[in-house]
Amino acid sequence: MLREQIVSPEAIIDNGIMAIDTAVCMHCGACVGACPTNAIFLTEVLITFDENCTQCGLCVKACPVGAIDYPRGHKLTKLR
Amino acid sequence: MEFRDRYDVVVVGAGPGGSVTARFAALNGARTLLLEKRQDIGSPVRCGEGLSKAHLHEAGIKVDKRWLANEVEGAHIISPSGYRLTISEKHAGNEVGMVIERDIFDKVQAFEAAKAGAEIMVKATVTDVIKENGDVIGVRVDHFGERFNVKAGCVVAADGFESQVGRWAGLNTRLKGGDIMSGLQYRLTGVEVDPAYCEFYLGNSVAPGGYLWYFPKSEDTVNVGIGVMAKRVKEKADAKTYLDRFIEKDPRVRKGKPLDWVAGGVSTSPPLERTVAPGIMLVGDAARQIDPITGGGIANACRSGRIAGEVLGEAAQAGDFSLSQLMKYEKGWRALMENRLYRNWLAKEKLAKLSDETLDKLIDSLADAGVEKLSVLAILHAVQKKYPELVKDFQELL
Ligand SMILES: Cc1cc2nc3c(=O)[nH]c(=O)nc-3n(C[C@H](O)[C@H](O)[C@H](O)COP(=O)(O)OP(=O)(O)OC[C@H]3O[C@@H](n4cnc5c(N)ncnc54)[C@H](O)[C@@H]3O)c2cc1C
Ligand code: SF4
Ligand code: SF4
Repeated sequence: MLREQIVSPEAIIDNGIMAIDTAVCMHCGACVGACPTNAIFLTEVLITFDENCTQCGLCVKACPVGAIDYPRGHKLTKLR
Repeated sequence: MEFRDRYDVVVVGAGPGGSVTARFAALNGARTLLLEKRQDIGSPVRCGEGLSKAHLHEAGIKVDKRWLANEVEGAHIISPSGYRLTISEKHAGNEVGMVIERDIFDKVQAFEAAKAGAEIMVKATVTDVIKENGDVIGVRVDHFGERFNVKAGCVVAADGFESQVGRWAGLNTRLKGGDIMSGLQYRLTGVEVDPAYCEFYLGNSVAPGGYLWYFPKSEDTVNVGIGVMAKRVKEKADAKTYLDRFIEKDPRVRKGKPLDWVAGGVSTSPPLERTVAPGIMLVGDAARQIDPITGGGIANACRSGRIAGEVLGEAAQAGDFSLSQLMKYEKGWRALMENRLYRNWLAKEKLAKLSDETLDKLIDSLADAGVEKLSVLAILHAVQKKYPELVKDFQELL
C-alpha cells in the first residue's frame, strides 16, 4: 500500500507549550498520568497542556502512538 | 434526575475501583454520588482483560456469564529466543484465569452500585477539588455544558491512571519514567491461537522493560498487547512499533483483523506513601495499586474499593469523616496488599535489567526442571542445577 504522511495543520494543536496531533491521539490518558507537573488535561475528546509544563518529554515517551511532540521551533527534536 | 448539593461520599470515576467503593458505601448507609467523565461507563476499553478468579470474592463479586469471555488453563512464558515455560492457572498469579469483556464488567459493577442506592452521573468531568482550610470538602464538576460544585463528607479519587484528583488535593501520585508502562493492544479476530493459554513474551528485543501478551477471548479472537517502559522508549510510538513488528513475525496472528485498538498507561510503581488526606482518599489505579510485575490492577482496585466503601459507610453512620476514621482505609488496604506490591516492584526492577541472554537461561532452566509452581526455592534450585553462575544474580530477586 502506498502511504503518505498526512500533514494537516488543523489537526495539530500547538499552543507553544506542547503540540498534539489530534488525528493520532487515542484519548487514553497515558500522557496525563505520566506528567510530573499535572500539566495535561483530557476530557475524553479534548486534550490541553498548561503553563505548568516543563517540557521534560515524559509524556512524549509515555504516548503509545506518538501523538505528542514539542512545539514548533523547539530545540529538542530528539527524545532525551 | 434530581441531584443534591451535598453527599456523604462523592466518588470520582466509575471504573471498577470507583463503582465497588460506591456500592459498599451505599450498602453501608452513605448517601453516595458516582461521577464519570465518559458518556458510556466501561467504554472505550483500556485493558488487556486478563483477570484471575482468586481475589474477586473478597470484593463481593461473583463470576458472571455476562462478562466472562473465556477461561484459560494456564500461561506460557516465552523467552527472547523462544524457551517456553508453562504454568498452570493456580500458580500464574494475578493475571490469568479468565479473559473478560471489560466494558460489560465495568457496567455490571456500576449497576451494583446503583442497586445499592448510589446515584450516578455520566458525562460529568471533575475539574478540581474544593478546599476549606486545606481540607477537601467537595469537587467542581463540568456536566453537559454546566458547571457546579458538589460537597462531600469525603471525596474518593478513583480516577484511574491519570490520578489528577489526588494531586489537586496535594497528595503525591507522581511516577518515575521507570514505573510507567506505555501500553497498546489490538483485539485481533481471524487468528489461530490456542484459546486455552495466555502467552507472555519477555525480552528487550520484544518489549523493553515490559512484556507482550496474548490473551485469547475465544477460539478465533485474541487480545495482543504490549507494555514498554517509558524510560526505555527511544523513538516516539515505540510501543506501536514493537507490537506491529512482533505481530508481523507471527503467522498465527499476522492475518488477524483488528476489532479495536486500545491504548493506555500502566503504573508499575512501589505503593504510595499516602493515599488519604483530610476529606479525600485514593482507590485503585489512582492509588497506584497495580501489581508491578503483571500490570494487572482490576482485582486490586475492587478489593481496595470494598474497604474504602465500608470505612465510608461507617463514617456516614457515625457522622465522622475525620482523618483518623479515613485512615482505617489506608491501614486496611496496606494490610491486604502492600507487602506484595512492594516485593513485586523490587522483582520488576531486577527483571527489567536482565539481558536477553540471561532471560533465555532463566526460562530454559525453569522449563527444564518442570517448575510448575513458581516458588522461591523451586526456582533457585532449578537455576542452580543448570546455570550455577546465575544464582548470585537472582538471589536478591528470589
Ligand atoms: C493497555 C492496558 C492493559 C491492561 N491489562 C490489564 C489486565 O489484563 N488485567 C488487569 O487486571 N488490569 C489490566 N490493566 C490495568 C487496569 O485496566 C486497571 O488497573 C483498572 O482499570 C483499574 O481500575 P480503576 O477503577 O482504578 O481505574 P479505571 O478503570 O481507569 O477507571 C477510572 C475512571 O475514572 C474516570 N475519570 C478519570 N478522570 C476523571 C475526572 N476528572 N472526572 C470524572 N471521571 C474521571 C475515567 O473515565 C474512568 O472511567 C491494563 C491497563 C492498560 C492501560
Ligand atoms: S513535557 Fe513533561 S511537563 Fe510537559 S506536559 Fe509532557 S510530561 Fe508534562
Ligand atoms: S498518551 Fe498519546 S494517545 Fe494517549 S491521550 Fe496522550 S497524546 Fe493521546
